[in-house]
Amino acid sequence: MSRDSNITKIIGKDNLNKLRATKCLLIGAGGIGSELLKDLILMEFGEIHLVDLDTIDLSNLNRQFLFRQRDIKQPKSTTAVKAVQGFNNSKLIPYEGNIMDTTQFPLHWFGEFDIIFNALDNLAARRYVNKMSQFLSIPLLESGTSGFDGYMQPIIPNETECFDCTKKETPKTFPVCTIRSTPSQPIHCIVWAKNFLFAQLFAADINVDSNSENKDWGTTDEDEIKRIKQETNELQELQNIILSGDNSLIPKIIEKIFIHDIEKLLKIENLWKTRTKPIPLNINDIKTDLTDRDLDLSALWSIQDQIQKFSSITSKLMKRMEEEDNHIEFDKDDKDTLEFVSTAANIRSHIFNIPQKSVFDIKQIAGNIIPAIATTNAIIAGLSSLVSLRVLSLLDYAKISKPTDLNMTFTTKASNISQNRYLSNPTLAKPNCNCPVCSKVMRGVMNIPSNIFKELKLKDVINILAAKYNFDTEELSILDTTGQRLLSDFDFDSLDEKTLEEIKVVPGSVILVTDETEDENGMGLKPLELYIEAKDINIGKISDIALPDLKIPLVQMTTPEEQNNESSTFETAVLQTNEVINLDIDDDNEDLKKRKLQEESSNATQNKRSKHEEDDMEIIEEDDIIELD
Amino acid sequence: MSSLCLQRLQEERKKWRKDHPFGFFAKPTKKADGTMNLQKWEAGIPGKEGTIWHEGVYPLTIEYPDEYPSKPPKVKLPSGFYHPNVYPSGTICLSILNEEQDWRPAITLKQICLGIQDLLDTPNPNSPAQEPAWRAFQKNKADYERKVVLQAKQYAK
Repeated sequence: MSRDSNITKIIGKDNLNKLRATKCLLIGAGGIGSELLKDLILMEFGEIHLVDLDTIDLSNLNRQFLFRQRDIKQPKSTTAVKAVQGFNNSKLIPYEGNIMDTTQFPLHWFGEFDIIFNALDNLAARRYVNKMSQFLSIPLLESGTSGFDGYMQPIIPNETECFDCTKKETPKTFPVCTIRSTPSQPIHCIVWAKNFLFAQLFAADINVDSNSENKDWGTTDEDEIKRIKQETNELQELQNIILSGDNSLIPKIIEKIFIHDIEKLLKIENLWKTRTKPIPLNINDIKTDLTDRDLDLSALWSIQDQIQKFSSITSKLMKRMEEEDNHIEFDKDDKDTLEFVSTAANIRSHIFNIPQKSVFDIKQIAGNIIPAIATTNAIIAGLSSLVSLRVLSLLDYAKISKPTDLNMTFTTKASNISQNRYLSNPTLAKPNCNCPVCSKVMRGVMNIPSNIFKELKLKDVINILAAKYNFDTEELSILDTTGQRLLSDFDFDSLDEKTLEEIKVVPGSVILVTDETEDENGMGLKPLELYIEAKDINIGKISDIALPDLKIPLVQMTTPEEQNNESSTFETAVLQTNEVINLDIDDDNEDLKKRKLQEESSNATQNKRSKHEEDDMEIIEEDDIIELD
Repeated sequence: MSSLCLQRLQEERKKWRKDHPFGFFAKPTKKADGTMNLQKWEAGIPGKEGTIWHEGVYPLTIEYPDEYPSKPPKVKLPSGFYHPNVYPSGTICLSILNEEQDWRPAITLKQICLGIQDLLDTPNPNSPAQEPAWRAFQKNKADYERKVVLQAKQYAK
């Protein structure tokens, strides 16, 4: 039996030939990526381009089955391609790089592909690829898993919902007051220890002008200035102790943060009217024993052990500061930083009468770890590759008459839809008419001869755009969406005389152009998003600049006030498809490893969507858990 | 930054241009490269007439996170600002700026600025953010008012 006999039976000889001529892009060679690569090869895709920026880590090996121990520290993309040589019958092209790098992967490069498979592990890249697929109208198969849950969503630009049509949940933040003054859950103390205390002591920039005399203190009262100075300087003092390397001063640190600061909080009586008062550490509990002991990382330690460990680990980190340029970042896999955060969090929990957590538990919480399950990855990758046949119209017995006939899939457990079914697979929805990515803007490519970036002024661009699309130059605003910068608008024209090169609008930049004129009914021209590409002509002229031929429609320009009504369409849509990521730390259920996904209950079962951000044993957005004062 | 964030911020700028309360100002800050940073604004809040705050225009910095408008902006007064609901760092404790409380994506810059102007003269003693102003406000009104007036002079219009 020949190798392709199965696929021939499934899709037929003609379609197999078409598949052999299909060129696909696979982004990510991790958990889902390994599975997808194998699937796409076995399905006989003609050409597979594989992109990954990462190298192989020991922790990948349990599920990223193409990699072996000897591959650790090797690039994922090239290693994966080598690993499949034994059974490969497709043309494989690996790239090491970040898919968002516009130099390595300009828009026209994306344009070569018939279909794109996302096997990514972060929101930023997912959003970016989604946008590229929208620019080029290339079908995208988006996927992700989180523990036992996962989803797969085909995206057909302009026809079905894009990745940004539904709201994506971002990490939960906590009010400053809760973290700094009134913690009530272990997570509050962990966030305090990691994002505030650790960051201030070991990762903060040394503030040079904190003592400057002519600083604006906001008061002229001498005592008050003294108090504020003291307050701002206290942390500085602690940092100075750390920098001094003198570990005999460690008890001072403990006294300050676990006694004096708590006593200060107690003075604000209103805080404790309805709350249990914290109890500062007893000064006698603070010992100067700096011996480094090994304790059970999955057990709860006594408060004495916590204090002792806090002291010894602080001493250790003080020493490391000298060797590491006075800067240490928190890393869940760096045992010293993890134990510092754990002990500091637990001592604070003890003070505030909050349950303590083991180092192991804190590692999961502080590192935002979601367990990755090989089976979930395999299921999701399988679904993704299967549905690609329908997207490409290669399955004659399951033909679609329109893109919304396609199905997406997600695990029902995550969304509480059904306890009896594992997967739910509703058909795709039409684009959300309020989606800022696919519906609220027009889109196209602006080709500029590469030699004129250094002479073309922003003002010229404004005039060219105005001439082409009938914009009012006085009302035109230009934003650089890549650099999140406003380049020009009604009240800001100081860059208009600068050249594109000077203001760093380069090939790969995406600019958002809006004519802010509105008629009496609040109607205005739809904003236009343009991807800047360089055209390689020998000696290009301004007249060689090419803009897309678009008829820009008048639309209702939404204003925040119109949205004040809470039941506006977009918000309703968001609520129905909402999903909350809970840091479920009060629940001792170990199954979900401290992290649950739950969906807002809703009657609209068909519209339920579940979105998971991660496919990997990684973080959600490491540095972004919280806002701190 | 999400497209929604950027589009919304430009909309906020447009709205503010069309309609903002008298005596207030707000504009994006300049980045080092000369472009405008829509995610970081500077604003001025005048104290209300007829209150002990009226002599000052109080400078604010407003930072919009990438997740705006799902998440609220972080709004700060100068560090050390004397007010019961302002942290020593200047961060303002106000329910409409709190994701877990009353923040809604539809809240505009104008509403935030007016909310802060209101807060100046009507502090909430139940969410203290700094000890001195809170204590004085509770226990020694004369001293509190004296300090507020001094501070107003410092930020005189």
